[in-house]
Amino acid sequence: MALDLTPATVAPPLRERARDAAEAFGTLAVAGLLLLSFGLTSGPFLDGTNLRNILVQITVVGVAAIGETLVLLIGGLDLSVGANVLFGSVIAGDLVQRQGAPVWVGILGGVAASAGIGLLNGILTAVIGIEPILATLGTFLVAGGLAKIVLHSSWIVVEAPFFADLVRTHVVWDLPLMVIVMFALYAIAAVAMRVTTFGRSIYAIGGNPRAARLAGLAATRIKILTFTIAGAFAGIAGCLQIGQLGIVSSGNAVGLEFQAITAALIGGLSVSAGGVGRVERTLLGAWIVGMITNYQTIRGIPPNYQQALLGGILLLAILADRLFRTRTT
Amino acid sequence: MRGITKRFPGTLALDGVDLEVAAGAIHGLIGENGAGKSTLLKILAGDYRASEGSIEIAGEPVEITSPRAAREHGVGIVYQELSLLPNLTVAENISLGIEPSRGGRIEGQQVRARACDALEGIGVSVGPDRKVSELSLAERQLVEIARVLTIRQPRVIVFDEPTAALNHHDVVRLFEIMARLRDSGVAVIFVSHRYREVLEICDASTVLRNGQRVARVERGEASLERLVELTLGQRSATAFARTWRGEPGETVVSAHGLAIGSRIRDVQFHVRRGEIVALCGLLGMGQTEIARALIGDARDVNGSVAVAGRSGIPSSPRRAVVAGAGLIPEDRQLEGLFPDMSVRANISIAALGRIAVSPFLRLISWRRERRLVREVGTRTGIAPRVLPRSVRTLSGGNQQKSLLARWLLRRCDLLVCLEPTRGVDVGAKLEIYRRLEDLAQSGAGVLIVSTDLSEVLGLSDRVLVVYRGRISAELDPRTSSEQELLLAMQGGIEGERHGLLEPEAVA
Amino acid sequence: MRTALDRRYRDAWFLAAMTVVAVVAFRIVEPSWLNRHTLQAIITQNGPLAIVAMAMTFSIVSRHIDLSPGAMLALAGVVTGLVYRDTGSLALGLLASLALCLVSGLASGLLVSFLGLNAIMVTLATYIWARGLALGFTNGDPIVVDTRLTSITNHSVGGFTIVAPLVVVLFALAWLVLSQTRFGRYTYALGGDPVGARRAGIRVGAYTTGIFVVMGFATWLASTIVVGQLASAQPYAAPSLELDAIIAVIIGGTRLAGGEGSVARTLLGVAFISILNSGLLNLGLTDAYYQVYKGAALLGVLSVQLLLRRLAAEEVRRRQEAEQLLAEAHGYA
Repeated sequence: MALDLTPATVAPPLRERARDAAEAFGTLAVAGLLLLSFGLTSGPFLDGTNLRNILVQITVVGVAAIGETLVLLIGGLDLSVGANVLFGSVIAGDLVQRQGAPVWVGILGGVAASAGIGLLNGILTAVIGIEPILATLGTFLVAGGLAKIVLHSSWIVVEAPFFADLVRTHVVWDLPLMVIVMFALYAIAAVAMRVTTFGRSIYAIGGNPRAARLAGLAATRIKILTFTIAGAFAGIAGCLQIGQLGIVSSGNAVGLEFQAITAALIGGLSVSAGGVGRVERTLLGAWIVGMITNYQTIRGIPPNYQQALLGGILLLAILADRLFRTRTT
Repeated sequence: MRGITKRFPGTLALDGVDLEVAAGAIHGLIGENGAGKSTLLKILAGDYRASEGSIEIAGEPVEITSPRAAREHGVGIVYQELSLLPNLTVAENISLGIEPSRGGRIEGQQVRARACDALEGIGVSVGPDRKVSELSLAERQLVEIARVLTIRQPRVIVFDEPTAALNHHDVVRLFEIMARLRDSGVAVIFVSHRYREVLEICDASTVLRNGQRVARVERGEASLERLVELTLGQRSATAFARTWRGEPGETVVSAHGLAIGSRIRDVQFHVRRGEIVALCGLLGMGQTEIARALIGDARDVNGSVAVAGRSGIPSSPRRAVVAGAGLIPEDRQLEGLFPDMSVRANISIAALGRIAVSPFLRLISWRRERRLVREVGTRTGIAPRVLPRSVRTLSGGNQQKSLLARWLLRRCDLLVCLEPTRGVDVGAKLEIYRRLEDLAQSGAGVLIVSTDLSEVLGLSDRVLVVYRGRISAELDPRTSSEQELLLAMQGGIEGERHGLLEPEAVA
Repeated sequence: MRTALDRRYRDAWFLAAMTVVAVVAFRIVEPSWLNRHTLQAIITQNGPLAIVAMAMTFSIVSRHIDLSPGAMLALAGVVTGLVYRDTGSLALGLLASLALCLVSGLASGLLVSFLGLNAIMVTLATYIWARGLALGFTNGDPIVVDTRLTSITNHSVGGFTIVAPLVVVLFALAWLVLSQTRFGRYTYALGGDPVGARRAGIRVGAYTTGIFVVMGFATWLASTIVVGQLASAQPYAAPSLELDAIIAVIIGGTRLAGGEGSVARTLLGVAFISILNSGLLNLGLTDAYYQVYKGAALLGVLSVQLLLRRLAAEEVRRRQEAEQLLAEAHGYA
């Protein structure tokens, strides 16, 4: 039985390999470049404490962005992440502080509540068929409102030492526990996307929904699961936020969904096309955003201009992505 | 058009083709796929420039350098893929891009008037204010014709395969319009695979084969058999020959009284393990819909179907796949491949259950995946070093093999293959045939839908001809010639002398 | 034709019915609610939303979403205020903000149409940097703009300010453009089938850019009104204007997939949202409950609309099949 061992490629393998490498390392290179230039132009930037500080700052957004990345990969969009983070933290805080429940119950409750919102998102988009941008807009309002209702228009100071320990306890490399949690979650997510059938299915459904359907994948089920998991990540982020801020108040997660989306976009994901991208690159994206924000603060740029610059950077990232990546439309 | 030659890098698409069409006549243009019809049309339409040759319209030589130039010379083409915007109305579509306007404001009255005139001109009564999305396909085609006719001074109108999706009533209406155009002095070119229709309405026809003009046939000189003979010419023995034909096993799919929509009725057939069955027909006769219904990708399906022992029409592709069926679609970029995933991942995507360990977490064992995919890759002739690459970089033949490997890995009982070798080079074609044969030998049932006659005859064990939504004939590929097959696809010679267009019996 | 009318507009009728239900419900709970004063307040407060929503109609019909108006409104107001403060000329300030809005729209449009960037991403960036600049220029503090503008915007005739007739005029204009001009026709074409539109010879890039510029102009107009009404430039203004505008357009029945829609529907959507807002606020609900109800109402209306649309599509298909059968039968009469 003769094998077809003739060169099977259209593009020479070298060029494709180079392109793959460029894609993979492009963002990394940018991050390295920024790190270098920031470090060279500002003394305190490269200080260990400062870098650790950045990691703490990006933890909440980073964890929430994991879920957002999964949703983007499957071809959707989740605008409810911010409100969901708040909702999760509110439930957790309420259970622990006001109801006196043990910490693990609070955390479980918070994550479950946020996962429930995620489940709602999944059903609205995959079963009823509302476009994700609209469905998550609706749940954004609902989750945010519910959160505020539970807060009784005040705030909760969570005194349970567990949460404060998230920031106080320093584990490896003098990094706070919450940062380690973020790294661990990213590691789990990255591995899961590569090694589970669920992860493989997400890439397929996002990459070519019609082909996925014809290949027999259970698209509806997987979409619902994806949104639910995204909700769970938002809940975890909410609990981490309690650790970071010590207090649950309604202004906590304002604009978080856009920060999460920005991190994912800088990490190379696309809002218009699914199926391409890697979860760990979102961490890189969040890190880049964190670095830039931190650098601006060190240099004394007022926080509002920082935001303006961030918008500009996002634009550049989108442009660069369009110009330098190959993607099948 | 005289002496039209068109060269592409590596191929000679047209070789000195002459096409003479008289004004006030309907001229047929026929030939197999790949004979050069669409290239010739594209030159006439201004999409291509001829490498050699000249074009004259009404005796004057013309240079058609662009689609706009073609329109200005009075050449209009009604393509098979309609160019209408479904969310706009009929009138809006007819005037799209050329709306009469004053100071930016569209003259609504004139738009409507133009549409009414255009529609009346072809004797059609579709309401100009109706949204195109609400029209039937036949009505949309009429609107498209009206739109094409808004060019100034139409002199040549080409209809490219217009009847593929029409029922008898619509075809009659279409012919009336073509006759009307002819009577008003326009030269009408009718491109079709349906020779009965060509014989019915064309005053003369030109037959192309392999980029050359084989004959020009006048009305009265032509018969169905003659056209088929001219189209096919002397055929060399098919390059592919089956090396194995086994005793067919149990039935893997059977259909009784299958009906889809209003155009496919009373279909009955079966496929058994170990056999390759071909569903064969002219474009639009229903064979693709029937095949898709078997894997759950059709609407309005009635009747009884049993796939791999599970009775009942599959309600979704997922159900069909779970029941043991698989589909290789005609357009693998659109519906088959995952462009950003590796070849290996493309192959294993339908068999995630096989490569997963750990029943709870569904973890993929990379080792098992590599092993299984390599095995199945070897069986389909995909080199192992290609497996980690992005599937986009593969040649057409290897992409098709990947899809084949996908269903091999899944160990499906029924493989439905639509146009198994479209966009595949000759060498890979033979390979794919061999793999399909292997698949049948290993116990699956294979159903192919193809318009490639030599492929059908060389590859299959049984040929089912689909004509007008019914299975009209069954041929034994070992004893049938391509002539016979094409004739059967054209509806057979019975009844030819009693009226070439027979209406479909209404259930 | 009557039945066609019913089927196509079923979701709009549903929305109108919901609006009436809402009005009635609110009145029952709080009888004093819908009097002339509340009506005036509703119109005055939601004028800017109506204007932006009408421009958003164009965007969504052409299959693009614009997330910039809220932030842009604030920034435009800030620019007006700053220029006015530094030069003493209101006219110059308005001119400057107009230029800003138009240029921003032009830039977004060019990026989307000629570089093929996704509109959501591009306008998301604007959403971020425009608000940042607005806050940055002012340090979060409002700028007092006490000029004749305020007397124009707040001058009331019989209780109604200039906002009401302005909205009406703009609505008429938008309706005219969308349904009667080439610009409007091509907006539909772009949304329905961008590839087909290009094949028909329509200059897709130019018209797409034009739509973003229209949004820029609408944003400027809305910003001017707000500055006038508040007699100041608020950097925190319009925190969710774009989202409300999108909701208004979608809830009015325009599909996110583009190609269909009308400003009339959008106005209906604006009316529904305004009434919902006002009624809920009037009930004395805290911000939170109101938010939940608003979200639930949005999701509920969307779900029902989707259902209605699916039923309508089924009907059309069934009718076409029946017509096919009938035509075949007649062929042999």
